[in-house]
Amino acid sequence: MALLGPNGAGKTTLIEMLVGLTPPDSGAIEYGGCSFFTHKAEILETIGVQLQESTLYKKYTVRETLQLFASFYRGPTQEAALLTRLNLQEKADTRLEKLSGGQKQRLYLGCALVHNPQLLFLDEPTAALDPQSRRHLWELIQSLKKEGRGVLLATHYLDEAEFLADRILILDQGHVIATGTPRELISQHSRESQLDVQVRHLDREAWTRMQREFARLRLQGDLEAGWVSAAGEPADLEVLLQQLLAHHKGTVQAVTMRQSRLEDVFLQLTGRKIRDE
Amino acid sequence: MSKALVEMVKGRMREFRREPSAFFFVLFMPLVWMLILGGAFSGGSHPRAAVGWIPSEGEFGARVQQALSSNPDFMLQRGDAAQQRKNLGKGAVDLFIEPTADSRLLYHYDAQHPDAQHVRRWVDETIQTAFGRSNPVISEARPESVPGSRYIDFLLPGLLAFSLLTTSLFGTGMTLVLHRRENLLRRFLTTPLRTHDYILSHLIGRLLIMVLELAVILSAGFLFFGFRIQGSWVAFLGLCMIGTASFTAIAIAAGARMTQTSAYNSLVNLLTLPMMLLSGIWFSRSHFPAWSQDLLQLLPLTALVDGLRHIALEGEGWRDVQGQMGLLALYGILAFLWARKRFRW
Repeated sequence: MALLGPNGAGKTTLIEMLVGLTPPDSGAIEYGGCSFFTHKAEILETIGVQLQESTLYKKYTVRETLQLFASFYRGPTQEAALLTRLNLQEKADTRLEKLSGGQKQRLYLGCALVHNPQLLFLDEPTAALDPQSRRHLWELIQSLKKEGRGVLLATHYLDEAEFLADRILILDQGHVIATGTPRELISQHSRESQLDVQVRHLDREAWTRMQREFARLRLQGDLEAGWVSAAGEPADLEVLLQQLLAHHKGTVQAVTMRQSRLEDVFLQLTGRKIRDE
Repeated sequence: MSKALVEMVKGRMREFRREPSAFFFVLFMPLVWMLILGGAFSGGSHPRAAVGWIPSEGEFGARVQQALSSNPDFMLQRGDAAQQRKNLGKGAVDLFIEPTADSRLLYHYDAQHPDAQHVRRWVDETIQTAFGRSNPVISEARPESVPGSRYIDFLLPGLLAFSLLTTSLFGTGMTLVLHRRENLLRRFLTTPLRTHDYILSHLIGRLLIMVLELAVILSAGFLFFGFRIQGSWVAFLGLCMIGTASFTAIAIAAGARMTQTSAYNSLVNLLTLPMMLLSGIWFSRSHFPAWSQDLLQLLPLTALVDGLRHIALEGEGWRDVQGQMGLLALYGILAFLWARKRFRW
């Protein structure tokens, strides 16, 4: 499950409450029916956490760090296999201060995995990583899913949520404003598709007629520049497209029809963009 | 010992080894102090007094001068009255002698200065005997060599105690604050690691490093200055351990909630610098007024220094330093309880 929301939405606070770093002001936290507060020690044995802002001992090597975390847990641990899985075998005896950002994030994930937990909490694991490292981490997380582990991932990256999540919880300013699968969210909150057409020559009369007829598709266009844009139900957009093609055969140069994305869902729900860039 | 504790203690030692500044601070610094100060104050074997002499004409003056300069106990500084006043002010002489025209001697010295009184008597006796005074009672000197009476013997236990204090406060304590600031400790909170294992690992790590400090300082003391512990070795080691544990608890308590290393640094300097002077590390605390001695004895550093000196220089054992051990243990326990309540990951 992904916790999706802009910075300041409360994703980190929520995770910190769930893993016992911050006490909630009210309410209860239960793991499989057991209250977190009364069964804390046992529950901590079964969960793995990767925090957003934390560093580890920079003078330790990768191997030593994993060994340290392994020593905290009762159950058996598999450091050697983990190193291979994280693709850190070559860096096993390198000190943390010499690792790259991507390597460090993989190590932190490793520390959360060293005791084979059933449930993982990851807070913005790919923040500030280059695209290649992000991809690698996504693959790792997917393999964790395949093993049947539960993953709660906090992120403000829409593509990450779309790619990895089975279910998404959208957070904004401390509230859950929507929840569901990516498909469900899009279809519930933003049924629109977008159509963009480039025409070399668009007849003025035809244009005025279309604007009247397809008013609810929020038609926009520029006759000189030669493009037309519309947003609405795919079925209606298809009708518009067919008309365009029928009356302007030979002059239609490009057609783009895209589905609404999570971005559009968030925009619909909050009136704001999710990205702060 | 739990798996986690063992691993964490290994980690503490690893951190120490891999931090070159820690090495320098903990091991090298006390050595430097010891060698410099020990060397400076070891002095010649023959104690001498510096005496100023205003030369004068005539037989009387010549005889006095002869009596003084032929005596190896005195270093004569010649000069006129103005120069001698300067000498006295500078401390180059303890006293200066002005012969008068009618064959009298005037001794000029600062009565407040403890040594000056004694030098005056010494000079006078020398001159009187040289001019023919005879002593009715025959007396001879029988020098006794008392081990542990040199300045270096006084200094070394003080340096050791001070070193143990600063390593605990600036080493362990600072590390904790730094780790807290870097959110390192928070990560541990999401694991089953128990707080007491974490704190215990710092304590045990510190004690292991203490053994290293002791070994280095005591061997250097022995090799360079022939320093020996007159009393019980076991008691000495035990007192060091209690002192270190106490100081470490104080360090943890002091930084229990801090995230700013600068704030911690200021607090710890505020604690150590006055104590360094008041506890009698470099010079005896008997120099401070009598009414303050009871208070000075209550300082944790004083307790450790006094205890170590009793054992090392006066040959005492466990029983005689019980008071100091108890006081240190009390500070440790109070600091521990405080830290337990207020410690923030």
